[in-house]
Amino acid sequence: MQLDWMIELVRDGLRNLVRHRVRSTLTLLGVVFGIASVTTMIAVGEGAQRTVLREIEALGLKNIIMDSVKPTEVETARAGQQTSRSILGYGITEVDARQIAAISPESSVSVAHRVNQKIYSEGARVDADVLGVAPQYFNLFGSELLAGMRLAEMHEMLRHTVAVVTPDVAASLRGIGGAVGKEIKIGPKYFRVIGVMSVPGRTAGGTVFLPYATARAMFGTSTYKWESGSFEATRTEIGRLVVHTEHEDAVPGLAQAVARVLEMNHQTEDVSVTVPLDVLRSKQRTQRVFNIVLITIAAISLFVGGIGIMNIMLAIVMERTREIGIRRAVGARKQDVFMQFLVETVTLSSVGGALGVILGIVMMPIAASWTGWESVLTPWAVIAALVVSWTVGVVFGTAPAIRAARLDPVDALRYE
Amino acid sequence: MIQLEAVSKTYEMAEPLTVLKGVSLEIADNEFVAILGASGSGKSTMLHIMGLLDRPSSGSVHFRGTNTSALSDDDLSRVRGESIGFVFQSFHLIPHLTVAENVELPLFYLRAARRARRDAAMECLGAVQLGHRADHLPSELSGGERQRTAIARSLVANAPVVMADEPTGNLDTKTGDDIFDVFRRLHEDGRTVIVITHDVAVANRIPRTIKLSDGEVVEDTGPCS
Ligand SMILES: Nc1ncnc2c1ncn2[C@@H]1O[C@H](COP(=O)(O)OP(=O)(O)OP(=O)(O)O)[C@@H](O)[C@H]1O
Ligand SMILES: [Mg+2]
Repeated sequence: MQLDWMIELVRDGLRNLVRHRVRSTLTLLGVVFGIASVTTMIAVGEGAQRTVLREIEALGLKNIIMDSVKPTEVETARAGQQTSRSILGYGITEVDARQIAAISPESSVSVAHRVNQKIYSEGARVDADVLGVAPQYFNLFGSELLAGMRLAEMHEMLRHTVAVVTPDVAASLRGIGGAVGKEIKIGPKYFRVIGVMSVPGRTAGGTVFLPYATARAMFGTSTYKWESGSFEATRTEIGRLVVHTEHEDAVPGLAQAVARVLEMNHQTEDVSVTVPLDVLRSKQRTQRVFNIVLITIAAISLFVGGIGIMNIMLAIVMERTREIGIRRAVGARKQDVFMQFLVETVTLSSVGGALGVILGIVMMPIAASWTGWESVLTPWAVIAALVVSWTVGVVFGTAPAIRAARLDPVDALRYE
Repeated sequence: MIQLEAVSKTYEMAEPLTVLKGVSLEIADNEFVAILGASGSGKSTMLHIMGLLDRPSSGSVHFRGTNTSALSDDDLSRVRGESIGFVFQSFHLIPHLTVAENVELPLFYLRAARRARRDAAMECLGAVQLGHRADHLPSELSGGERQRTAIARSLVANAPVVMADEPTGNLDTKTGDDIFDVFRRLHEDGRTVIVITHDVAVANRIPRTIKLSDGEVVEDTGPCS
C-alpha cells in the first residue's frame, strides 16, 4: 500500500518533469555533468588501477629485481673508469650476487644473463630480449607453460641450445605446427624452440629465454659493437638478479640492505633496482590522491547542481501554492505534501543521475583514448552514482518540501 | 453536526483586524443553509472555520460532537478528507491533472486503491453528467463543467457535508441555476449543504439563511422545522 503510494508519487513527479521538459533539463544539467564526470573518473581510475596492478603484480610483490644498465657517458667519465680502448665493465657483479645472497639467507637469489644479440628466424629479424635463466627463474614470476616443455636442469648441464619464448615471440615465429620445434638464430648460433611460456610483466617486444649455462658459455659476458665508426666493448657479469623473499613483509628491509651493498660496490649508477612492492605502494598513494581530487570535484559539481535543484523546487512550490491549498483542503496531511515534493525532487535528481551515468558511459571511450588508460565501468560505480544522485535529491529537496508542507491551507487557497 | 460557540477570528497585523466577533450557531444534520452578507463581512472566514481549514482565535468548534480544538493538524486533515467536501468560487481544480484525477484526489489521501478511486470518480462524474469528459484537462472545460467537476470531487469520498463558497459567482445565471439544482439534489440525498451566496433570489429558495454583517450574525432563519 505504502509502496503503491510511493510509486504514484514518483509517477506524478515524472509527469511534472516531462511537462516542464526544458526547465527540468536545464535544472538537471549540473547533476548530469556531476554524475557523468564521477562515473567516467571512477571508471578510468578503476581501469588505470587494474592495469597498473596487473603489471606490478606480474613483477612479483615478493621480488626485488636488479638490472644492469649502462651508465651515462658523463657518469663514466666522472668515475674515471673508461679509456677509449679499454672495455667498459658495468652492472651487477658476482661479488654483488654473493653478498646479496649472504644478507638474505632465507631468500632465493636467481640470476639472469642478458645476451645482446640480434635474433633471426628464417632470415627475418625478430625483435625480442634474450635472457639466459636458470629453470627456477620462472617460479618467481608465476609464469605458465602454454605449449611444449620448460627449461630444465638437464639443459643447463648439457649446455643445450634450446629456447623458450613468450607468446608474442611465438606469434612472430609463425609457421606450420606453431613455434615449438622451430629454429631461431641468435647472433651466430642456432637454437631450437622447445616451449612457449607466458611471463607476465614487461611483455613489450617479448623475451627469448635460454638456459643460463648455455648463454654464458656461448655469448660470454662481453659485447663488442661497431657503430657509425666507433668501437665499443662492454662487459657485464650478471644481466639481471632477482631476490625472491619468503614474505612481502621482508621486502622493505631487504631492499634497504641491497641498496647499501650496491652503494658500497658501485661508483656509478649502473644497477637499476625495481621493488614492485614499493611501486605498488606509491601507485596506491597516487590513486588515493586521485580519488580525493575526484571526490572534491564531484562534491563541488553536485553541490552546485543540488543548489540549482533546490532553487527550482522552491520556485515550483511557490508556483503551485494553490495546488497545495487544494490538496490540503481535500485531506492531504502536512507529511503528505512533504513527501510529494521530496519524492518529486528525488525523482528529478535520479533522472539526472541516470542521464549522468549514460553520459558517463558515452564519455568513457573518449576519456580512455585521451588518458591512454582502459576504463572499467563496475556495477559498483553505477550504484554509487545513483545513490549519490538520490542523496542530492533528499538533501536539497528537504527545504522546499518543508516549505510546501508548512503552508497554511487557507493562505495557500487564497494565493493568486 | 456543526456547532460554533463564541467563535472569533482576529488577524494579527500592525492594526489587528477582527473578522468574526463571537459567532455562535448550530447546523444540524441534513440542513441546507445559505450564508449571506456583504463583501468582507467574514463569510469565507466562517466557512473555513466550519470546514476545519482554519482555527478560530477564540471560541470553539464542535464537528459531529468532537471539540476540534483538541484535534491535531493531521486529525483535521483526515476529518476534512472523510467528512467535508469543498466547492470554491474559482473551482480550484489542479490544472495539470485530468478531470477524473482531480475528482479522485480526496480518495488518494484516504489511501484508496487506484482501481477503487477511478471507479468512484467515474460514478460521481456520471452523477453530474460529466462521464464523457473524464480524461480531459480542466482547461478544456466550460465554467459550469469545471464547477460540476469540483462538486463531483466533493462527493467522491461520500462526505456527509458539502460546503460551497459562492459556487456560482463565476457563472452566468442559467449555469448557476443548474449548479444550484445539483446542490438541491445533494440535500435531498441526505447531505448537509452549506452555501455562501450573494444572490438573494437564490438564498430565498434555501430553507435556512444566515446573514453576516461585519463579523456578526445579524439574521438567522433558524433550523428548519
Ligand atoms: N489572511 C488574512 N490577513 C488579513 N486579513 C484577512 C485575511 N483573510 C481575510 N482577511 C480579511 O478579513 C475580512 C473578511 O474576509 P472574508 O474573505 O471572510 O470576507 P467575505 O465575507 O468572504 O467577502 P467576499 O464576499 O468578498 O468573499 C476581509 O476584510 C479580509 O480583508
Ligand atoms: Mg469570500
